[in-house]
Amino acid sequence: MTGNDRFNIDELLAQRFGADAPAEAPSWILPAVQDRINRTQQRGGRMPTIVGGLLAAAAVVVLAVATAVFVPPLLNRGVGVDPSPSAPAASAAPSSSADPSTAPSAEAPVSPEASPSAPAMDPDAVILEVTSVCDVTPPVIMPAIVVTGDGRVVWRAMAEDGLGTEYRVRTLSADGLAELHDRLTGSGLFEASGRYEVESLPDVEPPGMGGCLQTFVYRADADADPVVVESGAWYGDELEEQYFVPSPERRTLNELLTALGDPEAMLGEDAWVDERATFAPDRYLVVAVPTVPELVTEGAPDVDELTWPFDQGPDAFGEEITSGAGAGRCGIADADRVRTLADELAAAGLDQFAGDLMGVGATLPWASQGTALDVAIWPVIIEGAPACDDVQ
Amino acid sequence: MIDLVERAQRGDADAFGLLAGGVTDRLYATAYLVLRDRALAEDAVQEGLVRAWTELPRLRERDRFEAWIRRIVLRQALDEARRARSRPRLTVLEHDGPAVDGHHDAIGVRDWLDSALARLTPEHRAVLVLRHYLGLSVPEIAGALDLRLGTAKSRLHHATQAMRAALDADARADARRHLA
Repeated sequence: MTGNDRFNIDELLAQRFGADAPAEAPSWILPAVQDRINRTQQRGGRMPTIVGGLLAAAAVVVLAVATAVFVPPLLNRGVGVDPSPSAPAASAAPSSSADPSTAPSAEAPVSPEASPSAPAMDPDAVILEVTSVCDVTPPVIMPAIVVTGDGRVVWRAMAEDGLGTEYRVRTLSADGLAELHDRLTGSGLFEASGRYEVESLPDVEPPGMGGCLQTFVYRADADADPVVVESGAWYGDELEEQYFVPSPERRTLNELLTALGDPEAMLGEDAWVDERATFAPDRYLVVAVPTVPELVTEGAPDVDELTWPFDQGPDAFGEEITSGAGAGRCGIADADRVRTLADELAAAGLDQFAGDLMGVGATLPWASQGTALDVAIWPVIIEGAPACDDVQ
Repeated sequence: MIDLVERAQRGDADAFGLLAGGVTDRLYATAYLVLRDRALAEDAVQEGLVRAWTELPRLRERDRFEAWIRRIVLRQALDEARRARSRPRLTVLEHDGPAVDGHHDAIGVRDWLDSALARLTPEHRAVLVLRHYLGLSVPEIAGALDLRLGTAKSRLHHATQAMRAALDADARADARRHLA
């Protein structure tokens, strides 16, 4: 006989939690919070601090807001189109090349001539970029998946330890890339830009699910304008039926997003020309925004004690930005220099800097300036994604 | 309450204090049950409340203040758990297993449950606490933990399975002790 035979686990848990839960919070907590908020500035409807944006789950943001702040930067990026003669030579390689790597076989990486469905495309041009953001828009929205003209796929996946995420990279064959194009165009939703919002049924009160915005930016070929398709999340048959106006488009796009979360399963093992690898960024985007000293992360070392990853100091590096957290600076730094800074922060006890630097941050004291500095680090996935222009 | 939220959104710290006063006990209890550590729960609640204050102007659904602030504190609690997990732990939980002579010994069952809960990850404990302590529905759990609905269902299932596995392991160990 086991414990499960003898006891109803659900009932026992309810009883145990009820008995174990403290009836009251310690009396000092509220006064301490009140004291801190009296000295802490609200964000005034703007984005929270860099660190806050990373660490806090927060308010529901209506889709329109998320769209307004996110889509324009994507479009402005031009999705990698570079008509200049400085485009990499590979994009103009003659089809008569004897290099077997350009042969149009399933094992070949993508070249401009490898498939009639893949016209001359800058190898670094972005064919597909998908983002999904729920509730608060973070200061930098990282893609769920990026596919470039040479078949490179970089996607975000759960880390092996189950805590957090990591980016992986693998290269599609010409046929694999064609299959991806087919899957996208086959949905019928990428012929033109579109937007599919979540709409509540009349006279119902949906549960507090928050808002999600999924954005697909897709270009079928080098000559095509990017198609931007936005969608609210599909909440599943049960909830959609009960609270929301069912939308086949949202459902399709949600299923596509889910499938793209595991492109290896989506496209099959034969679709690739190399092995999967953990994506190792060679550059990082670093954002530093002065903030109030009250928000300093416990145990954080002073800015002036650290090895800053730019030739200029924290007050002069990179370019000026105005984010929701206020005016600050942003720059792109080489990975090894950023790793040095991260190691110093990790050694000081800021564990978030010990692993991969997937949008990690802290608020550091900066005594010489009489202030504090929000510092956040993001990996650069491809050229321009993310870029300092994307910092919200 | 909506009026208080609006006042707090405009920077009225006293209004925020009143709002926080109405939810802090429940937030603390929830954080404690997830973290099983009073000091960590205190940190999570305090940091979560301060963070809620800074982000409050961005709250759109004012009538959902408690659900919103619970999300913030839960996120903070799970962050606290991750940080704590990276440090060495010296605590050894001792338990004798449940009573086996046909009646439920209250202390034995309590220790047995606590031992099983201690073996779960904070993420798994969180879904169980939200379900069985706060009585939230699966969609509400998904909302509280920033999970997709399917993920919330899956996590609840796995948490319950993990609890069953832990309880079974205890039962087997207990049976072995009595057979010895």
